[in-house]
Amino acid sequence: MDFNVIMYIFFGIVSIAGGVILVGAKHPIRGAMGLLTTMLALAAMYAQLHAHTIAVFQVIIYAGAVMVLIVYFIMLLDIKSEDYAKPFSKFFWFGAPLLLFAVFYFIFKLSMVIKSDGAFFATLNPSLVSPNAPEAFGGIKIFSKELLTKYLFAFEFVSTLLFAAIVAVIAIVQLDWKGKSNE
Amino acid sequence: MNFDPIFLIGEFSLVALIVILTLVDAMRKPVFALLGSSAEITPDIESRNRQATWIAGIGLVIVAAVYFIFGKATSGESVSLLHDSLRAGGGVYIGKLAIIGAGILTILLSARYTMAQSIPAADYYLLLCFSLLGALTLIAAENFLMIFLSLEMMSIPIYALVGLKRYNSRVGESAIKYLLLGGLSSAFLLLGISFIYGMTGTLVVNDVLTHLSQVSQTVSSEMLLMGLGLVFIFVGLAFKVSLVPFHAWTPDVYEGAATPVTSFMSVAVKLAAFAVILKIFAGSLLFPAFDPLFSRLFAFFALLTIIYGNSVAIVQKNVKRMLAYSSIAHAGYMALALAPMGHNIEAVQAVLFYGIGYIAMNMLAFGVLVYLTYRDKYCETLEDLTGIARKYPGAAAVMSVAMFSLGGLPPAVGFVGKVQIFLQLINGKFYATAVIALLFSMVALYFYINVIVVMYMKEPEAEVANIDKKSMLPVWLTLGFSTLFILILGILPSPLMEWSLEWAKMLF
Repeated sequence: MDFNVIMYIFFGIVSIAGGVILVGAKHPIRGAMGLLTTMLALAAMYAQLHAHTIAVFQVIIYAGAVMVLIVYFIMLLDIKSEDYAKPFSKFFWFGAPLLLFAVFYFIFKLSMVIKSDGAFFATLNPSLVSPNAPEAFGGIKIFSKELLTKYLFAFEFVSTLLFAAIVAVIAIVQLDWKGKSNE
Repeated sequence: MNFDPIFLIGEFSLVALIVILTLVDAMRKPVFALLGSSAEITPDIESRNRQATWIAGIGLVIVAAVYFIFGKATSGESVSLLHDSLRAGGGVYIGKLAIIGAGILTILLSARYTMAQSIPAADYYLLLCFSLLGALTLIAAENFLMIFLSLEMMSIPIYALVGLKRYNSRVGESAIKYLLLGGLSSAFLLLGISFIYGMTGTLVVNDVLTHLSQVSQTVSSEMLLMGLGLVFIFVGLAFKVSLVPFHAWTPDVYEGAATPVTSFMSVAVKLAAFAVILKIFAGSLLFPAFDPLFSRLFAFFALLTIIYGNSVAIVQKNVKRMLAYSSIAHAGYMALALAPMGHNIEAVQAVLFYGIGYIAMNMLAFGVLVYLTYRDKYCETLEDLTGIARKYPGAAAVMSVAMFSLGGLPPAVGFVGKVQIFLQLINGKFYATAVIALLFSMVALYFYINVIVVMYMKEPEAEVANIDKKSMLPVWLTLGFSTLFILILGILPSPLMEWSLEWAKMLF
């Protein structure tokens, strides 16, 4: 197996492990670190897929800016440590085996199919870049060009969506109406 | 780039309205209001609310008029715009008009509600317009990227609208529940889209459908992964239209949200999400590899939804909650038309017919609740409705019309809608399913008729409360329009059938 593929699978496992820590950790800072692990592992995966621009964005924006916000937020909330001591809900012990069963069932099913249909996976390109990908795939130049032509409307639409989210947040947090003083 | 802005005239004028609404309210709202010292601003809220209501109401009517007049030119043939981002023109003209119409009715209901409950109206209408914009682009979306973005654009403002009165613990709970489950459903949708994208290499819906129709019937990795992607997309959308077992948020959110918001959610959001389901699962291309699976999925989930929604609705004492369960059941009826997976245009038409008719029915039912709500007096439970017929004969009469239509009795539009859906089942030879669904719509009649019985035949225990008749005209406009719509199209359904056929042709 190609070294690239091995590393790709390795980072995939790391990112899933980070996700499990994020959900399972009782202390929010540990959860945040799990999230950071996931984000960095994802960035590594993007880089391996030759999507350098996305990898850089992932590190700068998510692992950098968003994580700082989240960690500050946890610090600001200043929850006492006894608040974390709550055990998992009783549904956890019901749901977790169910989920595990579903995951294993899927993996089992997929492996059965792969066994009978190995030809399909042999056609996958080990270099992890689609043969149809344009030249200089993943660079900032082609990224910007696609973003500002093919995906222009989606790009602009996202800015409107962000504006909507800002309005939504302000509408939720504002204090200048009766609800606050009454209750 | 070859792009004619006339095709997006509805969206553009709506964005213009959003900008105007933002700027006008920003002039009146000091930024420092956010940082506390709210005392001197509070008395101002009534005049601000009135101004925002006028701007939003008249503005949206203008948007509808502009789209109605100038968009008419686009109703001939649909075109793909902006590198397959949106498909505009053609039958989507009807869909957009229906959704803008639902928005206008919601604003008419909200005019009184925001006033009575001192909700900051400018933010409220702004969020409503954003959500409307999302619904408009959702039904026109041509690739999966736009479907996801529009779905978020439609949902995120609704999360905030539900939570506007977050100081009330019931509201806070329902808003956070909706936000979390909505996020989960988006994650499912995205996962499905990424599976599909990985397998086909394209995000454009039509290209993906072509790929799907060529997948062979033998079990292979391709079939498995694509099928998994489709199932995840189905789950993500089923959350939005609240099919059982993805319905858990619906009753709490519908009960906790402001009544006009509930009515908007139950009609516009549902209709737009159904348009996407129809586009992906019920188009003209057959999927030999997946049709049997989805036939079973739609039949199973739809039947489960109908059985669950109607049986739980019986025991509800709260009318809003009862309508929430009834709305779950109605989503089941709409999904049921797809059970044969015949990929015929009549099934798509039947669902759209039902969806458009459902706008009027639910607006009417929730409108009566808004009519009877004032200040601290919420009209939500059956007790609140007991014996109101004597004091408010008009409200009781239109509520009866709504209940008849929701229950599927002639001469209301709900009857014609149900008949079309059952015809689809019978044509697809789903006899057992049809019989069970029919049985449970009989069960549903019990709780719809019960509302009428309570209003007309029971004596109120306490005296029926007086309601302030101030600013009642907008509510009456909604009630009157919806009643006319239900009755006229219930007796002469052919125009609505033609409209839904037009729209179906575009999704097909």
